[in-house]
Amino acid sequence: MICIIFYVEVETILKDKKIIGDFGLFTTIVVGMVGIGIFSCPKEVIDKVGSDAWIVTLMGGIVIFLLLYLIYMVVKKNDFQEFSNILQINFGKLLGGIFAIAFAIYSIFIVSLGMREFVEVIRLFLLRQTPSEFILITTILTGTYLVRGEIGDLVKFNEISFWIMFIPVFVVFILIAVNADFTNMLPILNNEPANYFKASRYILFCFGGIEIAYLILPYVKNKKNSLRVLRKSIMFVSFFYIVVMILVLAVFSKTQSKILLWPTISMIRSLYIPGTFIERWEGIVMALWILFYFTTFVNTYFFSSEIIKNVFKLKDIKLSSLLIMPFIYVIALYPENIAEIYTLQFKTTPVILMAIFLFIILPILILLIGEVKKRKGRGKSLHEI
Amino acid sequence: MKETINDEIQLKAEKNIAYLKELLEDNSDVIFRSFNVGNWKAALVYIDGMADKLLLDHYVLEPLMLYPKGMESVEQIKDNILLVTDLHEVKKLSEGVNAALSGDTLMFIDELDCAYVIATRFWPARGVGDPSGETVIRGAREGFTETVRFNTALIRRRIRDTRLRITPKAIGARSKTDVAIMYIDDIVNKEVLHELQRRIDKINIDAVFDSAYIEQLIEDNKYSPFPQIQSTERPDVVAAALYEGRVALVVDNSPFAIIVPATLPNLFQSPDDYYQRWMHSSMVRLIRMLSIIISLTAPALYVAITSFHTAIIPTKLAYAIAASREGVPFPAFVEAIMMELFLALLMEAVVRLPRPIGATIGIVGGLIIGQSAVSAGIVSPIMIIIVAITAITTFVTPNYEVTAAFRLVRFLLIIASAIVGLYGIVIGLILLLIHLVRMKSFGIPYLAPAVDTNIKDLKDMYIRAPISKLKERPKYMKTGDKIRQK
Repeated sequence: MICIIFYVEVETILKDKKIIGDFGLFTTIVVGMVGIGIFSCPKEVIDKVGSDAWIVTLMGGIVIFLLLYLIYMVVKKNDFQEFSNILQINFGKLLGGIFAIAFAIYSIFIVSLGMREFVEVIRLFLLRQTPSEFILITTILTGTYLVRGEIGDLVKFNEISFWIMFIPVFVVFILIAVNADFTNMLPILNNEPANYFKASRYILFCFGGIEIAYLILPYVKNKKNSLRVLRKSIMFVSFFYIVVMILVLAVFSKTQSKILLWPTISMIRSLYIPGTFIERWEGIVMALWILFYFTTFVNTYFFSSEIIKNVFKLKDIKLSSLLIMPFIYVIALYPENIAEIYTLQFKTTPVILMAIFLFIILPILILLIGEVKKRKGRGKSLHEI
Repeated sequence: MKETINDEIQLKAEKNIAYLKELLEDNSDVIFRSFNVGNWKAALVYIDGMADKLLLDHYVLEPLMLYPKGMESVEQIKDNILLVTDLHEVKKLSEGVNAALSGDTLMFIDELDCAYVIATRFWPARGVGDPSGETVIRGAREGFTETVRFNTALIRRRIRDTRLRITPKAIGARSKTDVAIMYIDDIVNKEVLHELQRRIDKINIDAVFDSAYIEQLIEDNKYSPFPQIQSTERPDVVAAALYEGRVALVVDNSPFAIIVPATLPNLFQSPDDYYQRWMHSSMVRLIRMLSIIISLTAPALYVAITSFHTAIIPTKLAYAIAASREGVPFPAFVEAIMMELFLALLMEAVVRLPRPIGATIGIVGGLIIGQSAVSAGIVSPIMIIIVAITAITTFVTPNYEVTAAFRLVRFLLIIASAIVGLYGIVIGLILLLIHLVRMKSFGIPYLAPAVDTNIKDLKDMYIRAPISKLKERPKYMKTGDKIRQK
């Protein structure tokens, strides 16, 4: 009897699971993508291509949109099912499960490295004497509190965070732009083509986080509109990154941007508004940045927990989030220093290969298999006739 | 807990009376009156002090005892002789007893297998008075009273619609408190209504004294400091909520009606927002929002800045704060907690005391102790300013329960900021946001319409658009009838 009641409840949950509106989709993609990368990205990109950084960012945006389009196609061709289901339908139970777990591990790996960078930034600018472990644990626990909820709660959180994050940041940007020297953006297109490719690697990592679309798309209410919304969100993020690149260039010029560890923070630091109550803005902006990283973290965390839950057929996400928690902690504490974080992220071949496999090869494979199956199915039905 | 009453009504009035006398023995206020109606024996049962004796004397006993001539059957008593409007038959004795215990009069007559219930409820009641907890500058000055029927009438006067429903319910196995569930049938969100009825049916308690009991028994999240149900003493607020598709509960013996579902933005609104001009109301709403942020974070920011991030503020100000704190023996955290506790004490004391003494407490507590604490060097003057700002910004919120919830959060934020400064405040605020985002009130998101945003709902949230622009009912309520004006 209890089983039946439980089953009925599950049924009703599945029935009205299409809960996410257009704005929820938009904000989830945006806040999931904009993360800690924004601190270090300008340095690496400007180092490679100088004043053409914003062009590379624009190109990165276009490439990322294509990748997101791939994700959209994969989900759409599979009737908006959940990600691990899609994988298991196309590759079989075992192989699909392995791919799904690989995806979760990769996401957790990247987001944990980001976590370490975040902790270091916080320690440098806000809390010099607090041990990293404390900041780590509090952030992870806070994230767990949200992950233990439903996906609708996550999206609502994203919706509200979006306003809290971007309104003050754009105000700060306008104030910075007043004192910037925009002639620093010249010359344009003055680099070897190879350099653009080198730089694009960093910018693509900066755009990381699009995999959240796999999680969110199955729950979207208005499916016809979602591609348009996805395009809008990529445009928004690209615009945001381009503004950051341009401002960093305009404030520091390319020679200085290369030396700074986190040019974005230094740029905010240079902000001086006479007559205000607050003198050094980086403290306030850092407080805001906690939210920027936190949203990326919590979305990825939710996504990975959901995958683990589905692959191992766990009862609910509370258990899988608990399983992932120690991994985040250990991976985040693994690098010795900030330089090592960057080496792990950008210069380790397995990580790069993994990214290429997961974001380019895997979706194409799924689409191909789907196509083959469809033809087979058609052949069968013809045969039956 | 529940009592079993013999439900059968005997054909002899005397037998019924004998049974009831046994059931209600040793009660000085239960009146039994046996008399003759022509050839039949009859009896009245009522509670002294709750029933209208004059009505019984003149319109029940007088015609029955003086003019029973020419009567052929016992049914004629009801049809030809009794001069009362509100009279109904009950077939079960327990129903009759319940009616008698709530002030009606129970009447038995020989040869009848039912009893008559005559509506004689009458007791000294407080008149409709000023709603002292929710004063407005413009708008009705009527507030609810303790009698459920008066209250439903106050609401009915604002909704002369055939589709208004007032369904009765009795809650409490012993207290049997009357509760009226009110909604407008074609507007109400049916899911909310069914959920409410389900939760009310699940209540199994001996007595409820106030709507607050029911509120706490049916709310979604018991482990949250935030009120998830709106309570009000204003009939116009209830009527407005019914027009928005909500459901109201009016409870006997309580001058507070409760409204479900409630959302946080809802609790920040005052009826005055709609009675004043829209520009003014919009500005007031924005100020309210700002004041909530200030009241939440001001003391925590003070602690964080003085103990961790002195570099953030201008050097001159940092010096000023340091100079004012010179000689203060406590760290900023202790100072802040101390003053906040003092403020909480002061507020609690003023609420509990009679009004003339309350003013004295305000002067002694606020002025004298504040002044002396500074000159004694226990607290810094800046801390006093911060506490004062916090107190004033707190009172801008119209709902006391929300204020109390935010006060609790404020304490937690002070503690967090004492441990890890600004980072603690931000993590604390994120936790608060997650908590609010995860909450629901009867299936409606607690933060609606700030989440699941529909652009049309925002016209009546951060600002209050002109009334001619508010053409639709709130979308997030998922109402039946959606249009307010064409």
